[in-house]
Amino acid sequence: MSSDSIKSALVIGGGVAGMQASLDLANYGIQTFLVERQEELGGRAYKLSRTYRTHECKSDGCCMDYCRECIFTPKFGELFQNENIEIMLGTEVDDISGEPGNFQITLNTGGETRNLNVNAIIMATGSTTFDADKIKEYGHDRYDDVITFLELEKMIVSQRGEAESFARPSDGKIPETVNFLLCVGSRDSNKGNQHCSIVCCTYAIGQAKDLKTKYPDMEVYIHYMDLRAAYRGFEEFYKEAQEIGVQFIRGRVASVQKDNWDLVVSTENIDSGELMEIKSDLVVLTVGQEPHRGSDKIAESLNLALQSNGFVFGNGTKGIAVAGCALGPRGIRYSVEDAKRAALEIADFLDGGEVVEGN
Amino acid sequence: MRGTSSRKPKIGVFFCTCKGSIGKNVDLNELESRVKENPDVVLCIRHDKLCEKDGQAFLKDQISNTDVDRIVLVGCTPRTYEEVINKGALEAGINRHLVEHVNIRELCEWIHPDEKSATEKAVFLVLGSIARVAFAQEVLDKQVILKNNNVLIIGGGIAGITSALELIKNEISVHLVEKTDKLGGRAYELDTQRLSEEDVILPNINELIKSDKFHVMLESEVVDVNGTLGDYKVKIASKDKEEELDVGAIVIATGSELFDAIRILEYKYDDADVIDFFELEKMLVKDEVKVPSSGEIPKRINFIQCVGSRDENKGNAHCSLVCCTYAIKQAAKIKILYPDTEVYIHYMDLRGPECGFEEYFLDAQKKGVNFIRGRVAEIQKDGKNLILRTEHIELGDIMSLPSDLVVLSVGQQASVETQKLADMVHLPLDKDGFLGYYNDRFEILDRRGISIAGCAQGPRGVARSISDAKKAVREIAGIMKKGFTARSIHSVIDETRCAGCRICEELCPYEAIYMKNVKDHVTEESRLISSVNLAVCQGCGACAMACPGGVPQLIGYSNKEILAQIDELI
Repeated sequence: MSSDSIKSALVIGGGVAGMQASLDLANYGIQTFLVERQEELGGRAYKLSRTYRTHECKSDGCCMDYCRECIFTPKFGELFQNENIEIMLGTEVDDISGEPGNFQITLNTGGETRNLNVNAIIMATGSTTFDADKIKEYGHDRYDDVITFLELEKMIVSQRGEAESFARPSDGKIPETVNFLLCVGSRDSNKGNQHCSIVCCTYAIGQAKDLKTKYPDMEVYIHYMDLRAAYRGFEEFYKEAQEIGVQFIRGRVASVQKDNWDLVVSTENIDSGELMEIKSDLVVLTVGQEPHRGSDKIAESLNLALQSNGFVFGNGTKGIAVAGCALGPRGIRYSVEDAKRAALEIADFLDGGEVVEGN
Repeated sequence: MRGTSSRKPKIGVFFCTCKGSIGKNVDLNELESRVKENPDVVLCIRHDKLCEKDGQAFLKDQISNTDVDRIVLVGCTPRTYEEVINKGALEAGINRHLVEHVNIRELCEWIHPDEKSATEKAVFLVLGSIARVAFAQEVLDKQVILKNNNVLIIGGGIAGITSALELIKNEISVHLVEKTDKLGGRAYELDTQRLSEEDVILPNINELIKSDKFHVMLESEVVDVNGTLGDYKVKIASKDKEEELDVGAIVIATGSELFDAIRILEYKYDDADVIDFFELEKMLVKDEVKVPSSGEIPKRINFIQCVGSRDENKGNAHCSLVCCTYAIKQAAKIKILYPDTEVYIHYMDLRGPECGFEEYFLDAQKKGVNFIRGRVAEIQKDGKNLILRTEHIELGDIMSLPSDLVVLSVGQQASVETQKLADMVHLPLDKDGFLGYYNDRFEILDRRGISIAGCAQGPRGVARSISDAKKAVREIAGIMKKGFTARSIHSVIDETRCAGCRICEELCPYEAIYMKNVKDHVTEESRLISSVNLAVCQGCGACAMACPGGVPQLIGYSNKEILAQIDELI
């Protein structure tokens, strides 16, 4: 199927990493097949109401909101218009065989199978967020007002444009106290994953800052273990949050319970040693990232080794590159960087003339 | 390509209703009828979604079926959609300078709730653009090939070496300037335990030295940089001589420097038994750790984190990213070498942005490294012993810990060389003094062929420096080999009319204007006139404004076009 001269590549996953990788590959003149399991592109990043750039990036001064529409829609346009890219939504990879330079792929679109020959593969299967229901003490499965940060993003997106409303799920009241719980399912080998997910500290602080700026009377607490996002500009970001009155409490929260009507967050303030019970109208669980279901299967068929935390090792096989959160938890910026690097690797490999002729 | 030779412009106006979201406040029928009154408009047509595939096909069809030679696209914001929508018009053979984009969604539909004012404003905007595009002129893209294809790399650390290797692979000659007397930088001195990629340094250096495209200058410094992309003149001072190099592009890989711990007086860095992590690393490479003053094996070692980091008063505000990982690596290795030695790490927050850090941290805890949260107040000297005064924040205790050896995990900060160099090449420094995120924010042309690699951008580890350098260099290699397309908007100077007064040369903020000698077409005498370097011109229009004779013209912004548009608008 692959013709003699045109080189082709398969990109598995249509999140930010997969999108960027496809665009770059197409610009290098490589025929690209982009396969996405969901019915829309954009992955998790498209679900966010906006991206939190810390002070590191202020080059673009005319809009500080970075809403998803502005970032994604032109990218979607480019992708769907590009003649070198074929996008297959709602499609899963059933089988991969062959060798670098000549892979045989079996794709499955809602029961219909399609065979494909490609010269190289970029794996951008991403990660998924930790299932907060697994930690029973936090009551995500029982209480409506205990939500994950992605659900908070969804709330913000759905209520955008409505006048000044930030209604909590249970009764539509604007919460007076909000508690953010960090490291839910992260750095916890008993109930969750051992690794740190890197982006959650920045996100929680960003969301807390947003809430506090919009509702100055709202009490916002962030419960953390270590404040981690070490990237430059974060320190000022963190300080700004403290200055506008977001309260940081060090300690892992023991439980979230319902006391008559209110949620009560029980925790130990490690720094002062006191046990605290904070009444809360809304609790936001900042869940970490973990390997995607199914990504280990793909990794196995590509002969890629897995790290101890279940993510994929990036380096190794020729003609196969890995990008984005499949390599481990990371933010949008690093996923995009990854994708650019992966596309370069593949372009270099295909330039090298090691293409094995197809059948 | 369609000709625009005929006097009378034939303008096609396309309205995009953005899936019906334009048209509630703006009366499109009224707008269309007003537009059709203009005699230059030969086509006026509506579509639902020009930015999608069928919209683009529609656009191309309409252009090829009629004889329009200029296009006005009316719809949403050009900020995000201009390129997407223009693509169809360009593919149908319309020159990019003959396409105008009018935003009536954000500027009219969304912000004017009443129909009258929204429609009125839209009419003015669209008529203005029609008037303007009628005077627009077709300009073809110019391909510029660089004069000089050599690349100068400043700094011979891991980022510089990787950059050099990548460039040589692309058969580009490289000059590398290094301040010290050997290549490898800080990474070369490190013990290997944590970084698997570290062992690439020595083979890489050897491979470099073998190549005939690699010219290295050790113990040298860049003292002056002049010129621009494709034509840099760089003065380099060595020990005994000063020479000038001609290069086409520059990679800045000057790295960072370690914070000087002597600035924090309380930590008594001048004491022999207080060392920084880099000195400890040099001991660990030899697999032995001795107390410098006595030569004995230390029984108690304290690591102090964030020395000079996250501390605006005495050091730098930023976090250095790698020090937590380093300290844990060193502490764990000391525990392996000397299991009986007590090791404490005093930290603020433990930060390891890479995967695997958590396991690393737990492993160190299992080996018996003690972690204490709190910033150490001071180190006291009691006779021969060092005593750390600190607060254990979690217990609330004030502690006095005796110590044989204190290791200060100093952070990275912007090096003086980077700052000097930034001054020479006119790059802005960020608030921490680094050349941060410069590569990502600007295209290679906007950077005048300068790429930044490694720690000059901000603190980072070896692995990231390597991948950084590879990416930075790839762009340079592309532009060196293939040249580039000049910006579509740039200044053009009419040679016959320029009087050579040099006002524009002095004024140009990008130094894009240079003087060249031409023979006058009347007197046949040679004279100086201004000329534009297309590699550098940003199309700001300063020269067009300043010239007393109005000679420089900005493509797409000629006086005729602008005045015609203003006439319609007022």
